[in-house]
Amino acid sequence: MICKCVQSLMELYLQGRLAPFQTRWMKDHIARCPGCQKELQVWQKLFSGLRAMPAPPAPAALKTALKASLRSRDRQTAPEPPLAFDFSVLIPQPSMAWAFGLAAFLLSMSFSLFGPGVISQSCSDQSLTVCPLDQEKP
Amino acid sequence: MAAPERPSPVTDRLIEEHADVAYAAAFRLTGNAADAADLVQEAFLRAMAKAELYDPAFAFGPWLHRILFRVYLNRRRGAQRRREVPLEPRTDDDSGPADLPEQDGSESPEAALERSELQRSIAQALDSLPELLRACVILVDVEGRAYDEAAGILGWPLGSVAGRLYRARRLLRERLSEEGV
Repeated sequence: MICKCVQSLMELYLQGRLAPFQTRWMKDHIARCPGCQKELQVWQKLFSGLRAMPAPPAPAALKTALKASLRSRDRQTAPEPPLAFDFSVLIPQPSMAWAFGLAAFLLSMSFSLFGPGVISQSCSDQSLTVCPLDQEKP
Repeated sequence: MAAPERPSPVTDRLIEEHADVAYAAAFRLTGNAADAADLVQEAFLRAMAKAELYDPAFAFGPWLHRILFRVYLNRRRGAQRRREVPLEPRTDDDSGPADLPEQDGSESPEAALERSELQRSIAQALDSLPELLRACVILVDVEGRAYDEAAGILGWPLGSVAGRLYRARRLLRERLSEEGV
């Protein structure tokens, strides 16, 4: 049971990621347990083998191909020659859109506040309108 | 729109300086030379296409590494893996996972043979891991990067890296047991 617990912590022990009291406990147990010593050796082999994995250098042809592909990409995405007339001045800018929007809003507000407005469909307060209730009054 | 930079001595210098490291990582990830070269090429092209996002205050190598791993994970997502895993040490001049670094004169032939067998077992075990787990192992255990650095490269939370790394190491350990190590 203790060996199972120790072996589950073995990789963390080797990586130095255990608390000091855990490390001491692991060290004490491993010192007197041949099975856990063997397990420790396997983990050490695994980590050292991973760290020593050979890395092949990039082939020279790859570097040449990389440089060539970057050049061909550059040719494909080269900027187009400028036009005789710059049409971009006709395209409204965002700031202009905001300005036009604000102007339209102010214009509509001014109609509502100062303009004639629309003819009311409800009961009018003009004197021409006679309320039927007033007529029935004695 | 700003014109893209023409390949210049700077671009050539970046390729010369970083292609080897990128290719090594790509080779470990893909397991074969053709896919590794393809991966490196795509990573470089993306890096140059996104050059305006690059902050010169940081090193180019880690940025390229991040792009390389993202390209790999995106490409592998949902795709069937096709790997060429050499089972025997190669005899031609093509480099492979079973190749060994240069031997020094102090190592005995028995020790060299044992190391060769161990390297081959580890390479095979690494090849058998799922892509996400293998990416974690390569960054942390093979390249020796810190957990948070690996998390930054892969774009995962730190806990995901730690959890996947734990599972990956357990799987590697099981594979080595099956191999009789």
